[in-house]
Amino acid sequence: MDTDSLIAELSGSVRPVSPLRPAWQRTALWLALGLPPLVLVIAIHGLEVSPATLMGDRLLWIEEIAALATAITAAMAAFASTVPGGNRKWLWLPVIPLSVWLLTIGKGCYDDWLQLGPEALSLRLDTGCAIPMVAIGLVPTIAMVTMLRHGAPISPRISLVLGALATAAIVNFGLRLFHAGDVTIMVLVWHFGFIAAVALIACFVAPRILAWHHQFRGYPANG
Amino acid sequence: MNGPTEKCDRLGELMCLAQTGDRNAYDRLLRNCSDIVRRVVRRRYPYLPPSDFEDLVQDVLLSLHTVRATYDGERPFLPWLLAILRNRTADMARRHARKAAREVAVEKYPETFDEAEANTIDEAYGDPQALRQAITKLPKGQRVAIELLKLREMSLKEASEESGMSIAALKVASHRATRALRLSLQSRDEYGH
Repeated sequence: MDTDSLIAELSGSVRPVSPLRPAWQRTALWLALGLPPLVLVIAIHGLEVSPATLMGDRLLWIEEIAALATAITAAMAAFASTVPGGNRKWLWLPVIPLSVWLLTIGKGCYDDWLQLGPEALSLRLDTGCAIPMVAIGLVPTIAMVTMLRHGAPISPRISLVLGALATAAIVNFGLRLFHAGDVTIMVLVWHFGFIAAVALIACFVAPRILAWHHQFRGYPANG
Repeated sequence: MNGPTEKCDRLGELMCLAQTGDRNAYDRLLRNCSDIVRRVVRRRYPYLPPSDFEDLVQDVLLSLHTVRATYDGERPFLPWLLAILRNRTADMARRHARKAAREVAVEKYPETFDEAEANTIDEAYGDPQALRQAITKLPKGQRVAIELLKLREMSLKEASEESGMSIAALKVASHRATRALRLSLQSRDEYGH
């Protein structure tokens, strides 16, 4: 098909579309979809520590705020990355809250080491959080992938890795409420290991999930 | 006079109209974009062959069409278009690199396979004189079949008309003659005569 015929066909079949909302509005929508499962799981599962203990742990609150901020900024960066010609500086937005998050966990590990000695670095496999983790993470994951697919796959790997970071951060934000009494090496290894694994998988599958050819379906010009 | 910024804004306005379903505006926008894309591609990638050149223009137009909802009317249009162009060009370069790494261009495909047994027929016998003598010693039917089918390279139908033998008889005679020649020449090579 020559280019003139393609233009005639595309312009002849054009339908109205709603312009994509700004990244912050899409982030707000994603949070509105992703937070209710978290609240529901907490309501069903309950907290493992008393609210009084939670309120008194200042480091835990800094960690939780940093995790939530990582989720929000990573989601904004992921959505911004699907707009062609946008400012790429937005992609660095999650770096600050992520650094704060890692620092608070590092500080927690150090405090545990001073308090417990070598026992603070002992790891055990805790499978109890697997079901709440899936329950919290399923809706934000589906919502994130669906919303990213509405954008342009300009940099699919970056978009999906940021989306995975946002989702993993929100899951960790919720899980930490169940595991407030844990030694922080467990959080560092299992929770950040989980984030690294999710990001790595996202990096591999991104070109298949966020690809132009999905969107070309139905156009005769493309075969 | 229309400067680049005015043109950019005009294209942005056309895209905003296209987002509402205005076909004329969209047609004008796509024609303008195809000109811009051609100009940019010609300047940045002058080595592209003509077929790839037009493929790239169409690819950009299709991409623009599918993600037209991502254009924000408050922002300039050209950076949006050029980001799509950069992405599609990079994809095309990757496709070419993959193709070049995996495929070998050949003028003419070989008619046989690599395996030794598939190539025995094509191997030329080293002593034409001995082959000619061996042919003369064949029974008449086999000799005729070999001469017509192998030496004069006739089709089975032509050889049948020329010799008066049936096609089936020619096939059998040719097969037996080939086997007899192979045995005769092998034994000659083994005994040195």
